[in-house]
Parts: sequence; C-alpha cells; structure tokens
Amino acid sequence: MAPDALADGQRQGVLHPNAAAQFRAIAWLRWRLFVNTLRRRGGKAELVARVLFYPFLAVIFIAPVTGAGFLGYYAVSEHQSSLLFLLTWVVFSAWFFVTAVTSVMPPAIDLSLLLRFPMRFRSYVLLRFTLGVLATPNVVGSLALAGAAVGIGIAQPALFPWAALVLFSFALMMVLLLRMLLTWLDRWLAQRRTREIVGFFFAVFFFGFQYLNLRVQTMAHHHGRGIPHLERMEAIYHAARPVLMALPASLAAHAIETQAHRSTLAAIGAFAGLLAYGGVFAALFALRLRGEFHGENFNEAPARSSPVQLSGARQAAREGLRIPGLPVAVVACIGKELLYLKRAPATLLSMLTPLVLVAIYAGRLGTSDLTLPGALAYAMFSTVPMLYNALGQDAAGAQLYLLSPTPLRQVFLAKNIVSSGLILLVAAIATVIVVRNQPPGLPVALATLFWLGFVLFTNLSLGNYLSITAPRKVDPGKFSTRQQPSQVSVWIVIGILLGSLMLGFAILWTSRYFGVIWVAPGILFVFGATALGVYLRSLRRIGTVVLKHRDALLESLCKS
Amino acid sequence: MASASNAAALNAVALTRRFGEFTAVQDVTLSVAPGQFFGFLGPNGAGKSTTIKMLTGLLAPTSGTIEILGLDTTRAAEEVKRQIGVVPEGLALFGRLTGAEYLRFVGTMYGLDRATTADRTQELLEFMDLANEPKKLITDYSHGMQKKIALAAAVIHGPKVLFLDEPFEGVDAIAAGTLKTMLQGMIARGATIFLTSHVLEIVERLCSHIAIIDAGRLVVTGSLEELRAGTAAHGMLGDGSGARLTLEEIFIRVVGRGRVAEGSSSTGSAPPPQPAKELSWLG
Repeated sequence: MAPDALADGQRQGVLHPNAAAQFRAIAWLRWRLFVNTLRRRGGKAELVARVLFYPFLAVIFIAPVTGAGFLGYYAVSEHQSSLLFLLTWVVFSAWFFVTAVTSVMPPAIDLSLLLRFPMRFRSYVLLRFTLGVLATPNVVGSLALAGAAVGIGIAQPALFPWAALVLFSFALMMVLLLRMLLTWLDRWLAQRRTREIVGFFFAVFFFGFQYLNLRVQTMAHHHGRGIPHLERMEAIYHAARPVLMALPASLAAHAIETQAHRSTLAAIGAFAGLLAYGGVFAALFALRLRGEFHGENFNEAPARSSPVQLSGARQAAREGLRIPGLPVAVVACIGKELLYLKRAPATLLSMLTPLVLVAIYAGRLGTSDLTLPGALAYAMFSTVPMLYNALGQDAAGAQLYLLSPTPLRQVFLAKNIVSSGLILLVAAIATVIVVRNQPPGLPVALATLFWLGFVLFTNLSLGNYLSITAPRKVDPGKFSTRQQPSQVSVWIVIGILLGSLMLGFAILWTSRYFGVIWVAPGILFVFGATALGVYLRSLRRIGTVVLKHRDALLESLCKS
Repeated sequence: MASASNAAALNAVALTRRFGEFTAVQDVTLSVAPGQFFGFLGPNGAGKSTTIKMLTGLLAPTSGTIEILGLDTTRAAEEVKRQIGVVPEGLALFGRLTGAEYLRFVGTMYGLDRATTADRTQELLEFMDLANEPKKLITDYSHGMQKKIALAAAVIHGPKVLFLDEPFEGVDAIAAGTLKTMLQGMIARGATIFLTSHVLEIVERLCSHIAIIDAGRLVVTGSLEELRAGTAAHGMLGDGSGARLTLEEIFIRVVGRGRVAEGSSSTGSAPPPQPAKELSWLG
C-alpha cells in the first residue's frame, strides 16, 4: 500500500483499512501452525491421539449445555426462581474454574508478537477479544448459556428474547471479565519475583483449602449430623446476600426472574447493572492492552547489585548439595533439578491440584481395596507426565549432557530420583489423607506399596525412552507453561495408570474372593521387582539410546 | 590411531552428513595442528554448524572419521569430551540457573572437584565481568552476557581443544575484547581453537589458519598467508596483481562467485559486492 493511501485510510474508519486482511492472515496462521504441528516427527500419532480425545471432549461439552437447558426450563416452568440463580452461579463458577485450569496451557500464538505490524489499537483489542471468545471454556460457557436460553424459551416462549439478550450479555461480560483478568494476571506474572509471590499465595491457598476440608470432615465425624460451624456459615451467607445479589451472575438471574413476573423496570435495572459490569471489565481490558500496544517492556533483570564478595561466591560454589554414596555428577544434576523446581512454581502447583480433590473426596470414597490405589493413581496423574519429558525444561542446555564426559545414565538417574521423589511425596500425602479416614489392612497396604513400585518403575522406563525419542521444549520461566509431554505420552500415562489400576484391582479382588489376601502383595511384589529390573536395564542402555536419537533430540530441544 | 602426543589436534576425514535427500556436508577432510587458531568460514547454510556438531559429537556423521588429539571420537568419546570445550550454536545454557550455579554444575559434570570448581567459577565470573550480579538468572542475561557465560562454561575444565560456534555474534566491542584476550591467552599456552564466525575482521586478526566451506563442500583450506598468496589448497585465488588480499576479499572471491557481480578492480582491492538484482520498489 502506498504511504499516501495508508495515511488516508488511517484517517477513516474505526479499524485499520487492512484489518480484515490481517484477521484473515492470523486465522490462516493458526491453521498453518496446527497443520505444521502434524507434520513434525510423531505428528501423525499426535493426530490419532487428538481424534481419540475429541469425542471424549465433546461428551464433556454436551453435558453442561443440555444440563443448563433443562435447568432453565425447569426453573421457569416450575416457577423456581432460586434455580435461575443456581444456574447462573454454577455457570459462572464452572466457567471461571475451567478458565483458570486451562490458562496454564500455552497459547498457540504469542499475540503480543503481532504488535510489530501496522495495526490500530482498536483492531488489536478486537483481535484479542475475538481470539479470546474462541477459547474452549468461553465456547462451552456461551453454549451452556445459549442452552439455558432455549430451555427458558421452551418453558415460556414470550420470555425467550429477553432471556436470550440477558444471557448473551452475561456471556459477553464473562468473556470480558476473564480476558481482563488473564491479561492483568499476565502483567503481574511477567516478572519472576511477582510470579514467585503469586505462586506462594496459590500454594498457601491450596494447602489452606485442604486443611479446612480435613477440619470440617473431622468435625463432621465427631459431631455426627450437627456441625456447629454450619450455622455460622449460614449466618455469613445471609449477611453476604445483598453483596451476592449485586454481582453479575445474580443480576442476570434477577433480570430474567423479574421479567418473568412482568416487573419490567426491575428487569431493566438488573440488566443495566449487568451491562455496567461489562463496561467496566471492557475498560480494564482495554487499559491493559493499551500498555501492551504502546510497547511496555517488563525487564526481569533485578537492579544491579553491589559487587559480590569474592569469598562469598567462592564459598557458595564450595557448598551445594552433598549426598553420600551417590556419584558427584548425579548429585550435581539433582541439585540443578531442585533449583529448577524451586524456580518453577507452576510445576509444583500442578502437582497439588489433584491432592485437593483427593482431600475433598477422601471421606466419600468407600472402603474397597481399591480406594487407596485409586486415590494414588488419581493423585499421581499430575506428576507422572513429567517423567515423559525429562529434558524439556533443559532445552538447548541438554547439549551439555552430550558434551560432558558424564555418562548419560547418571544424568537420567538424577532426573529420575528427583521426579520419583516428587511422585512419592504426592503419593505419601494422598496416602495420609485417605488412610486417616479408612486405614487399609496390612496386606492391602503392602500390595498397594508394591503396586506403586510397579507403576513408578514402568513409567520411569517408558518415560525415559519417550523423553529421548519425543522431547518437547518447554519454557519453565513462563507461568503459563508446564512440562507438557505430547498427547501420545498423555495417553500412555492414562493407559498405564488405568491398566495398572485394573491389574491391581483384579489381583486384590481375586485374592480376597478366594480368601488368600496375602497372595496379592506377593504377586504385586513380583510385578514391582520385574519393573525395577527392566528400569535398571533400560538405564544402563540409555546412553546408547540417546546417541541413536541425538539428532532428533537436539533438533527438538535446540531449535527456536 | 596416532599417538596422542604427536597427533593433530583435529583430524577429520571424508566427513559427510545427509538429512534425507539433502546433503549438508559432503566429503570434508581437514586437519588442525596443535596450537593453531583455526577459522572455519562459510556463508549461511554452508554446513559450518553441522560440521562443528559432528566434530563435537552432537551429531552423528553419515560417513567419515574424526580424531581429536589422536582419539577416535566414536570409540573414545568420553576421553575426547574431557579434552574439548564447546560453545555450541544454541549455547547449551540452563536459563533458570544463576551464572555461578551454572558454572558449578558444569565444572562438576566435567569431573572437577568442589574447590577447583569454586575457584575457577569465581575467576571466570570476574574475568567475564559477570560477578556483579550473582542473583541474576541466565535467562535474564543479555545476549552478550549469555555468550560470555557459555564461553566460561566451555573452558572451566581447561580444554586442550576449544570449539566455538559464532562466539562474537551479538557481543559488544568491550565483551569481544575480553573474549579475544582470553582466547589468545589460551593459544599462547598451547591450546587449539576451532572457530566459526561471520565477523571476518576478527577471524583475520585471530586465526592463523582458515578453511572455507560452501554448499557443504570444503572449497579452501590453508594458512592465512597461503590464502592471501592465492596458493591455498583447492583454490586459485590470486588475481595476478600480486596484491595482498584481505580475508573479506578472499571470502567474497571464493564464495561470492556466481552470487555477486564481479568488480572491475584490477588493483587487488575488494570488488564491492553488487546485488545481482535490483529491488526497484525499495525507497
């Protein structure tokens, strides 16, 4: 485009004259990124894994949409207005929760990279918003609200236009709210120090939640039906009700409820309140994007510190981790892994999440032989995948392992020790949570222990192999990134955990059925010992495997 | 196998690397004597990094043999690794460590004891002017600082042969001066350095011997004086005028054939690289 034409174009219209072409180009870019992902080594297997995964997802998506539809229908047809409030609040909470969980997935494109192109601020905001709308939780949340509108429309056709307008506005407000929160969160987490502080508060929150849950369960156990604190909580709810009624989810429900009762003025008032929220969130979203648009740069570098004391640095280097009985290089690698872990709060947080649910459901899991291994399998699902991308966080640094004279089995041994330690820590916490409620018998406890060894060593063997043959570079510096293995690896983890769970269950059930429960730990001991033998053998051969696959390994980890 | 005492620092014979149908390096044979500062040049995509990866064991050659200090890199890989230091293309850094933590880790991986690692870490950080920010993570370093810490890591174990892939790229003049001082000191103490760089002035100032690779094939190799005199192996570089050529002129004459229009100079000065085609729409 000629400069004159560009200047004319900029004086006219809201968006850049080239905005439509830019939007098309970005859509094309996303498509090509997806296609090129499939062209990579292992891309076809990845495609198969996705094809298997999508129907699974579709079922998960359909449930909230139809559920919201039925609830909307029932609330209006049965004049149960409180159910409308329940509907909007459940959608609000689920939408919020799913967005929080999925926000740890890295975005397909770093949209701030688009700023170098000639783009107007409004185009940039619209682009960010549009791509935000297409995020999975927003699509599902919007569809759920659409389902609710349809349900309400079937129950009371005259109410449909109003309900659709209110719920559409509510969906829009949700998207704006969540986009706004995520962009501001990104801003706060752009600096390592704030990231660590936020990570700390998240950890405190998770542990606090678990503690609270355990306390409530303990009180329920001791006091039977009566929980004195419940009365206090009810009082708190009543006190907070006016505040809750002023929040967007309540306003949306109130707008529909009052219109259903022909109180148009009250309905419009509630709707106006909802729009006001949307406006505020849109303004805050735009405010954050304006900073990005004008090229703000968060330099992570700390202020230049005073010259370090000679002896201090030397002393620090002389110190460091010491583990008697292990080769020095293994200890050095363990030290390095622990430092990485300390500086990657997202990894730690991802491990804690399942423990929260284990804590919540610990009292409701029943008393079967499978309770403990089932809880362990669930708790480990967040930690085991890290075994499948052991070199991912090292990225180009992994070259050092090939350049140094340290045998690669020592490097992998160190990585395995650290990750196994984490897995066992998570398993130990889950065990304490479950056992407090229902201690298993000694044979079941031993069988579970050997089963755990079997699962761990099997995953270590396979994980090491796939870490070498299908590595993925990840950036531990970004809060929104975890050590994500490929989709194929995730399916392998699911397969191994479910398969081993069924195996353990079959052995325990059969032993109990025939009245020989002590046979179960014996059989599982053999399984565990065999898995250990296979692991040790694979560890001895790991140097050869790395050399065989070093081209692809370094290509995946070193290329930008 | 040659004895380690009198062997060439580096001896590569008929080195070839293919990626599917594409041959990145073909039949490269070169020898570097102990104590040489060897510059390995070539245009983008010529095969420099692929060659250096093969020489350092990061990439398996499709065919050919490599000996470093008389040791076969395949059969005596561990011993070879103890003798060499490498600054690879991707720098091989661990971004979430501080400079001191990284050097301590690397020193241990190369088998140095704690005290030696600690002393050398401190010395290297000071020498590289990186000691003032002990808490800064490598990921927060500037590009030049990352180059310096990568070089520090490559030499912490006192290698006899040092491989450097573009060590001066993105490094400021002061940092480049620091690096050059260190490298020249190593040469003076008998080490061998194998370097790739696009900064031909630096190569010309530092290196005693040069090889030029183009499209995967070695096209010129010899001492700088031999190249200047136009008598280097594989190449007839002289222009008949008897004038001394700069490395840039040699490079352009060797690699630029068919890519840039030949100048009409008859005095031996560099023919200005003329674009083969005009981009008429560029302002």
